[in-house]
Parts: sequence; C-alpha cells; structure tokens
Amino acid sequence: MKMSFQTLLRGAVAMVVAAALPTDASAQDLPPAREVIDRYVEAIGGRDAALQSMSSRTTGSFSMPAMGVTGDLTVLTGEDDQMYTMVNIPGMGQMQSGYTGEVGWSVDPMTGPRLLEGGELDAIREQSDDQYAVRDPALFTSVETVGETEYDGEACWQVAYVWVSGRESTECFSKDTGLLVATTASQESPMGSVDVVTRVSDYQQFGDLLMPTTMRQSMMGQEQVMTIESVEFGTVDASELEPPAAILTLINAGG
Amino acid sequence: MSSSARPISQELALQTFDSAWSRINSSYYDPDFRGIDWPGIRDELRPLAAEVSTREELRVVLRDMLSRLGESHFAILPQESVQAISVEADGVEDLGDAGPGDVGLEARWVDGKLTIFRLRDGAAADAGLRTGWVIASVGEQETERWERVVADAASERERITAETQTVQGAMSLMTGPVGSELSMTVVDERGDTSTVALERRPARGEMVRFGQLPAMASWLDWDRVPAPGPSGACVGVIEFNIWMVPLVAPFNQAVDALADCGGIVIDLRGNPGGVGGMVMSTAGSFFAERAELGTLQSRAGELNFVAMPRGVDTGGALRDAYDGRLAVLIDEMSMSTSEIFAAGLESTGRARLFGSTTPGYALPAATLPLPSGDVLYHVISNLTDPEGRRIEGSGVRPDIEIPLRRGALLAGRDEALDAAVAWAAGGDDAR
Repeated sequence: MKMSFQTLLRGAVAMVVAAALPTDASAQDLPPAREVIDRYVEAIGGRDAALQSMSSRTTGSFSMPAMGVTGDLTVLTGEDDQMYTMVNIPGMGQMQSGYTGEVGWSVDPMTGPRLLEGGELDAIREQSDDQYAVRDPALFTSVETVGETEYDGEACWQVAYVWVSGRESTECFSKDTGLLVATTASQESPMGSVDVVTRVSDYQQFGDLLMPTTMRQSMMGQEQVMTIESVEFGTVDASELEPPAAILTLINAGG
Repeated sequence: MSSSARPISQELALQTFDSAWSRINSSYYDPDFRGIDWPGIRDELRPLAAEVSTREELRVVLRDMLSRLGESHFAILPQESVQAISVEADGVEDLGDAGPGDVGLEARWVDGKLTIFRLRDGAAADAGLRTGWVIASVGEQETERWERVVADAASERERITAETQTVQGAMSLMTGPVGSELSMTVVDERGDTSTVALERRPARGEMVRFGQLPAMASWLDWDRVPAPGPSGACVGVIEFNIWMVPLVAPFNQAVDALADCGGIVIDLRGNPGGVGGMVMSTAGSFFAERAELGTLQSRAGELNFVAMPRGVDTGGALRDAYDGRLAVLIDEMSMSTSEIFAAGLESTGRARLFGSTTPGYALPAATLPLPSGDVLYHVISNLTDPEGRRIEGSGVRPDIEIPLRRGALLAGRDEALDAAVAWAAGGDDAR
C-alpha cells in the first residue's frame, strides 16, 4: 500500500463540517483535472516515489484542542494494500481500524469490534488502493476540475471525483505549489453520513516523498488535528498488520 | 488567595465573556436560539463583565448568561476544579489519601424529606446510619429550607427538578478532601435526632479524566442474584456510577458472565451520565441487529446513536446477543447518557424501565477553554429518542413507577430493585 495522508485519516472519528464551495469560474479558465493531478504527483516526488512498494510506519499525535483531548497516533501500511491505524487517547482508550486487502474493520470503545460495510468499506478499500497515490483514472468514473477556492489563504484548484463505488469527494491543489491543500468528502459512519473537510499543511520530506505533517479535520464546530512526527519505510512486519483477535473471529465467521 | 478571589483585568474579563458568548453563538444547535434573544443577552451582560474585579464575579455573570438558555449541560468549570486532581498520562491515578473523598451515602427525597437511600462502605455506614433515616442537616446546611423548595413546586416537573438539584447539593456537600470531617444531623426511625461527625474517605473507584472535564471516580459492580421462587434461575444486576469509557470492558465482561441468567437488571439510579457514545457499545450487548437509540441534531446535520451488536465476547469468541429480559432502573438522579440509554432501550422495546422519572438533563455537550483559565461546558446538539421525543426538560418515565417508601428503606428493602429483579426473572409487570 502506498502511503497517503488519507490513510492517516482513517483512524479519526467521523467528522462533520460544511464543505467549502468553489467560487465561480468559467470552465475554460480551469486546468484539466489530470494536469492538476500530475502536477501534484510531481510535487510530492514523482510517480515512481508515489508508487514505491514499501511498507511504512508513521507515528504522531492526535488531538481535539477544544476538548483538551490528546493522544498517540500510529499508522502502518503494508505492501499489498494493508493498513492498520491506532489512536490511543487517555480516558477514551484505543481506537483501531484497518484493511487487510480484502476486509475493512474497526475496533473502538464506542462501537466495539466490527467489520466495515457499505460506504465505509468502499472508502477504505478505494483509498487503500496502490493506485490512489497517483489518482489512477481506473478508480473513478469521473474526475473534473470544478472551480478554484482558498483554504487558509492558499488558492487552490478544486478537483471533484466520483469513485467507482459512487462515492463523491473533492481535493483542492495549490495553484502555487501544486500540493494538496484540502479535501472534502461525505464520510459514512455507524452514526450516519457526515461531511468532512480536511486541511493539510506543513509538508516535509520523508524518504523520496514529500508529505503533509499536519491534518486538520472539523466536525460540528470541533476540530481534530493529526500531527506526523516520523515516517519510516520498510520496517513493518506483516504480523503487525494482522487485525485484533476479535476481528479475526468475525472474519472467520464470515462477518 | 484562592483562584476565585484572584483579581481579573477588564481586558481578560471581556475576552473571556466574548469567547464564551461567541462559542455558544456559533455552535448552539438552534441558530434561532429557541426564540431567545442571544445578542440581546450579550448587550445586557457584557457591561457587567466589564465591571467585575475577580474571577468569581465574572463567573456569576457568565453563569447568568448560560442560565438564560434554560437548559442542562451549560456550565462554567472553575480552573481550580478542573486542575484539582492531576492524573497520570494514562488517565488513571490512585488517589491514595490526597484526592476527593465522601462518606459513602446516597440521599433521595422520600415523603418530602431528604432521606438516606443507599449506604456503601464508608464512614456513614460505620457510624451506624441506616437507610430510611431522615437527613436534617449536612454540614451547616439544614435541609428544612430545601423541603420548602420541594414542597412548593408547582408541577411534577418542577418537583423533580427541585429534588434533583437539592440532592445534588447535598451530595456535593458530602464530598470533600479525604480526611476532612462532615457533620450530619439525622433522624432515626424512632424520631430521635443525632449529630454525627463523619470523616471522608477516598472516593471509590478509578479516577478517570476525559479532556478538560474534572477527573471522576468510576466503578462498576455486578452480581448474580437468585430469581424469586423455586426456579433456581438467576438474575444479573449491573450497576455503575458514571459513563466513562474505561467501564466499557467491565460492562461487557459482566454481561458475558451473566449470559446464562434469565434476566439482567441495569441499575442507573444516581448515574449522572458521561460519554454519550458509550450507549452504542453497551446497548450492543442486547441487540442482534443495529437499532437506533436516539438522534442528535446540530447545525451541521443529524447523527444517530445506534446500538452496535457485539458479535464477539470479551474472550474473543463469537457471541449471540443477550436475549433475556432486560430491566433498567432509573430515578431523578439518572441523567444525560443514562437517560439516553434508558429511553433508547425503552423505545425499541428491548428493556422495561423501573423506578422514577429522570430529570431530563440530556443534551450533548463539549468544552472550550476560556481565556481566564476556566472551562466553558456548552451544548452542541439537541437530542431526541427514537420516537422523536425530546428528553431534555421532560425526562424519561419508567414503565413501572415505584416511588421510594420510608418504611421499606428502614426495613432494608430496595423495592424498585426487587420489582425489576422479579420481572427480569419472568414475573408479571405488576408490583
């Protein structure tokens, strides 16, 4: 699996916020989506770096500043689309989620151990796909630049995706640097569907990749912040990507 | 000099006032503030905030502002109370002799008198106090004045609110630093009055802290009691004092251990709530399919509390949902998450409720640190049960109402628990 910031976001709690709407712009002013995406891929280190087949181990912190909640964040990825995320918050416990390459799962104190279904499974499967790192056209039924807007003062081109599953999301790429600035999506959760806006910033070089180290997500006026402190490549043992015993029980039982 | 008496500058006071007002202005679930003139309240109270000279005076102004909304889950948490108990990095701390203590007593209103409802291990029991005895004073506070407040209530709703608030006041007076002494005057079954000095002992349970909320003791008990009659069957009884996440695992373990019992009683009397999301996993023990327990409405949209079926037991093996009878005990001190849980299970038909009507303090809330160092606790969502009923302000009514009776308490009987156990064991609904 390729390391992407979306991978990191899987460990977060569902978020709600009104999506930023694109400003008016006539279609002829907008660059083609593929051009915007290719520029982004180049900006983060190029296609080969984005598609390199190596496991990754990311550590950092998770916080909800307004609530005074802080915790540790660990994200592991494997070479075959596997992913494991763990957020540990004092007083709240561990929230784990992952994807085996076939099965998406989650364990947290609020919803217990469960296998992901429907839109939740679609999202984790599609975002765990190797080819997502370069936004391979085969993942989408539609990719279109729909406007330009600003996040935190940074002007960006807004690209709208319709995924093969039917999900919809947008990404906004900096007009200046080509880097990803923000995403919007409707995220499924057991509590319902929630609109998510994620702003990414503070890019740093890890290996051959330029990656954002700060991700800010908002819901219902609340903000969740993930900060990346370290990224290692090629150090994850396959056993570390195994789901917890409770999930294996559910998988073996056929869900 | 205590923190509350510390002076505060006009600039900081206004920053704090503006921060609190603005947060509520932007996050309160109803942008029309249920018809309340929120900007007008700012215009009225901001000049008062500009004139305060101490933090406590500012709190009075802020609490006045919050009270205008007339709902639960609005509070100013003083900096000193939030920081009073330090906790280790894992969120749990052994209090030892340094933390908050209590005397091991719960009070309720019975026949118009504040009365000893339950005794646990502690100074009150060791001093010979008994359930059913009337509490005439707690420290310097005589309960006669509270009696008038309860007696003068113009409606059942007002009475429940008065009872809840005065019990909260009494229980608050009973807590204090470990080792400190509390004087209580009680009236026994013969009408004899005595005054006892009770030394507060460490609060029971693990101290748990979540975010900016003060650290709170949390504990869970469960027991297997014989069903009434000759069947030899059992009924499980689970009781926990607060909805804090570290209790999820003990709760699940208790349900698994009681899986062979014909019924389970969950005692939420006196449970003031906590982390709302916990209702999803705890209720999940009793459902084979997902079931809606309540809906949160905010400016950003709606979310549902959903019972999430727990397909794996605490030992890692597959489990079926517990399908025996389920009773939930509630009373005027069952609040917030306890009310959401009880209302959700009752609405779905999964549980039968016993006891007395809850106070209706059920609104999802969040915190915000204020410039003064205090913390604003504020509502962010409205909440309705699966039938669309608002719990806030109306409470949750039990299916089987069982008012406390002094005679039963004096005899050491818990009639609501007895009725719930009898029903859970397969008995009829009638008491």
